[in-house]
Amino acid sequence: MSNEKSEILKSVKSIVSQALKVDEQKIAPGSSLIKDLGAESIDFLDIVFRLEKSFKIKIPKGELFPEKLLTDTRFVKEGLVTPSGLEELKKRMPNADWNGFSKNPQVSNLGELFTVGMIVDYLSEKLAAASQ
Amino acid sequence: MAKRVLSPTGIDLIELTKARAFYRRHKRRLGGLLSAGEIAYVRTGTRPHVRLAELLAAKEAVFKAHGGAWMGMTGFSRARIRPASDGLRYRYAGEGTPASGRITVVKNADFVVALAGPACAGI
Repeated sequence: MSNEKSEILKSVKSIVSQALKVDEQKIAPGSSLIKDLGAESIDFLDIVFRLEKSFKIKIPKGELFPEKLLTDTRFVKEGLVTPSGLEELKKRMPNADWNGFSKNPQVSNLGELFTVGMIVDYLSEKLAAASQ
Repeated sequence: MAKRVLSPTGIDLIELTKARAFYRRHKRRLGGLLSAGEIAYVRTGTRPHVRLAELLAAKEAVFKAHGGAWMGMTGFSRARIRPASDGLRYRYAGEGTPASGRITVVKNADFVVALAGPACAGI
């Protein structure tokens, strides 16, 4: 992991620890916010707002979480992610663990894939783009 | 026998200590999250954090009722909550036909629970 990414991970771990009242030692890049760290919807909002403040960035709707994808009827039908939708999601979140989700691709389970590492990757790209 | 269709219902719970901390920390950022009407509902209450918890729990209950998933700010915007004479009502513009219904809220000193459905008689 590069130095910049290590620093971002350190900050994200601190933010997630404060937001979820979880010991930082228990937070790893692969930690799922919901499954491993117990995050609820209000916690996701809290984390996004804290990230914006800490990194002095604006996180537009649809950037961190693939929201717009999930309102596209090509990609979601009757609460299930379609094969095309799965393909698009894998492009957006290449490091997520798709094996389990692919067997039962319910939209309502998608949140369980969101990890600390996903946030770090997003911030790393966003900050790199901003510095160019 | 006539085919019966189950009405969608969803339920969610929010801890008031979390809602209080969230409101204190982020009350100036609600515009990115709630509609003007929803913000007014929060701010005109004597305990804004409780009303905020009602709205957040209501929105989550609506997603669960309609098989969707909360997915960031856009997801939150798809469920609109408004006060009515008999409680809260919602309108949901997820995939498919927009849906509407009632929210039943139950609360105590620690939690707010919201139940979303087409016709909730109360619990």
